[in-house]
Amino acid sequence: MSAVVRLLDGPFDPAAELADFTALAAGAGAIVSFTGLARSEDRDGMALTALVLESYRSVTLRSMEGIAAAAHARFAIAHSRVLHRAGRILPGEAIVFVATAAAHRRAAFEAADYLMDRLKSEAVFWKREESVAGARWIEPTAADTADLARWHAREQD
Amino acid sequence: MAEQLALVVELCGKLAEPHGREVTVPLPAAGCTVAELLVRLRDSFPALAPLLASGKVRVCLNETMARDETVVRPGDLAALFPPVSGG
Repeated sequence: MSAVVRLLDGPFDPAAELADFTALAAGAGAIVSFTGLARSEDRDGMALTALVLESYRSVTLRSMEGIAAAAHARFAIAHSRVLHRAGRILPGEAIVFVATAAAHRRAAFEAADYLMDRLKSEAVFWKREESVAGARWIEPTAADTADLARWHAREQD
Repeated sequence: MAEQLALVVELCGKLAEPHGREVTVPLPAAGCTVAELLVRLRDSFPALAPLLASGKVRVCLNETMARDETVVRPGDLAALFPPVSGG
């Protein structure tokens, strides 16, 4: 079993991470990965120059580690990898990478989905979009909150 | 009158917009609760008041999330967290 969580202040290569994770997870029957990229336009179609993610000392990394540990407790996954950028991210660069490995596909899919939903709404980051028109802070949307609520609802089943 | 010291509070995310990355508030040497700290901040920095009024701002003390009743003392590492957004 492995759960690797990294907070990065520079670009990373998602393809290389997936290749490395796949080699590590030899023997697993299913691997799922997700890469979140910085968009080139905001929701109104305005061209973005950068996405800036603030973090806070050890608290940010601990929040990510807690989410990864919860995924291992909840789903039958053998390995996970969670990478998250902080700092200034250019359009097209990867912000976040999540990979999960399991014996069967359902657990791998669900664990990756769960990790992303919780990272979006609970990991300690503050995100702002920068464009020629200025900067705008981004907070979790109603859709993000609804995505997170799916998992809480299932806990009560 | 009790001796007054001060606490530096780091302001994260959009909370930094009105006054910059950190503010200093007077604090009794014996400290005060987190709930009282928020009142002091609202009183000392009115531009922060609307941002704190949402009730969604959390206080982090010495790299741990604090409750309303947690006591904050001069010299603590204090930060205000607005709602987080990753991914």
